[in-house]
Amino acid sequence: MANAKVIAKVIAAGNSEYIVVPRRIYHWINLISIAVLAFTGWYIHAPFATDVLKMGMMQSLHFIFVWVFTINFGLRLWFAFFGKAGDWKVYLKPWENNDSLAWTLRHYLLFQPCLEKRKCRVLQRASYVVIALFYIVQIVSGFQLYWPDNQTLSLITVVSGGLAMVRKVHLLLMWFFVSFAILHTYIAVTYEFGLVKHMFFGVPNEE
Amino acid sequence: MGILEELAAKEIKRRDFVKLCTAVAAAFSLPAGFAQDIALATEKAMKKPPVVWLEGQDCAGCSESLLSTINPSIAELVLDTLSIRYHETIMAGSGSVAERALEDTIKEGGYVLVLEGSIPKADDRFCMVGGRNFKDIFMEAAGKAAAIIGAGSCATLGGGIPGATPSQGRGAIEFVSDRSKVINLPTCPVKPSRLVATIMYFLTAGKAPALDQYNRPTAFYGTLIHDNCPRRNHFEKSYFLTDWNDPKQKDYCLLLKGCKGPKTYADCPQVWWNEGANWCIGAGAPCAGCSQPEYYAGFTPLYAKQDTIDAGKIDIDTIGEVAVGVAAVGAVVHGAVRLVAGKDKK
Repeated sequence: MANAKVIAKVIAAGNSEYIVVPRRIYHWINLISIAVLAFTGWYIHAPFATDVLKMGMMQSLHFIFVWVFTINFGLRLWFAFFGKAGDWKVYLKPWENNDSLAWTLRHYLLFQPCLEKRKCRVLQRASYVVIALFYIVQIVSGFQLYWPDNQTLSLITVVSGGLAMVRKVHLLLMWFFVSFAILHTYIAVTYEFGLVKHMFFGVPNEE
Repeated sequence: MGILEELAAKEIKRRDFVKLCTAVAAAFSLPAGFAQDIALATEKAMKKPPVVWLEGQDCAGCSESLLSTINPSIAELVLDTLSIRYHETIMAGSGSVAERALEDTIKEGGYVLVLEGSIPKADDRFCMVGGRNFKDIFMEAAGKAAAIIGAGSCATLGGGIPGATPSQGRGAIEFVSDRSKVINLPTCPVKPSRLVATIMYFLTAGKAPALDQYNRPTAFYGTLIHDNCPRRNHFEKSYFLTDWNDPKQKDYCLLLKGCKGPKTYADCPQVWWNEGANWCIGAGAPCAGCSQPEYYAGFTPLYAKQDTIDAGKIDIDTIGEVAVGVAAVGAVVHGAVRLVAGKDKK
């Protein structure tokens, strides 16, 4: 288990290899809520007549997990910036970490092998910033659809081109998250399986 | 001639007139006492405030809707006696005489301008009246109007059906400089009760009723159709109409048949059409979303449920499925190649 010394070392090194418990809890809740939200949201978007799935049930689940997801994400943001092992630098300044922008560019643009382990992940880290921004768009557009009569949100709706457009954005981003999840899983399992075990079950990463 | 004699001449009882005034008060959630004020204002209005009714790119359906209500209807009477100075479809005068009536009214100012149909945005020449650009005619009339009412979907935000054509028809609000003067009354056609109530409210209060972000009176456009739909229970239970010919599905939710109720704000479920005879969903037709700015271009095809991206009409689900497919196939192929090439060694 994590002791303060290890955490301190991790922070000092600017290293994110050690995944602290709050990040692991966040990841679990995020995984479950996105899975539920994507499935129920897809059913709400493309319902079909069935005796098993009920629109009312799907909507209730969606609306419950909206809060789970939003609060979880809010806490994660708070943790990133103000937490004891806050890691916002890892994502917002990905080149300052163990990683190097030069290595990453050489790896991606010139197909050179990444000679030193875990040095070429600037783009990977930056992609999580995009994901976080999309989470915010998804949350705002979701609440626009959830509270269509809210005056403040209506203003955003007008700017973004009406409720029909908001639905499209909300749906398109759902597909984006699903595609991302597939690649995320594939890359993590094939390249960093140690980290996967670490993330889910706290097994120390021995690699 | 007093107002009651005038009403009697048109076979309208005092009782009906009071009923109308009460209905207007109720529509805007005003206390019952306001009915009297409305009656007084209407009585005054009958002597004075001129209405100018301009038709742009329209089908005259809104005029029809208004005039072909039960004859002689209260709505017709009110608009009749409001002294409509200019209305291309119903005015008796024609040619330069009619045009002069318009000019004189504009010079006087202080009239209520009702726009029916859209104004072309792509090129002014799409709509010409009497050799002049309709846009110029409208702008001239809009300048001195006390209020501008966009009647019907074409005359409001999205330009309705003309908005979907190359002429890019748009409503009054996109052209006038003072947007606060505009009251939008979308739906295709305009609902007579809403138009009459809005004009009467304006005459009584001297200002527009409470408006939403699209300048629609919140009294009529404040609630989502989906939230008040009588078929909502079928929606909750996932009873969707899939086959028009199945008598069992007669009252099922019309979502899969392209109902735009979940995106549309209007009081149609509560206040029915044609003097309370029926309304679209009540008659088994999916809501077309005609009170929304997205109508018509953004909501077509009306009888199919889909969420397409406007450019190119590509289904978002297709984009999503392709993205997920590419990701999955990419992962599998990449994994296979790595396995074969033996690059997995650390």
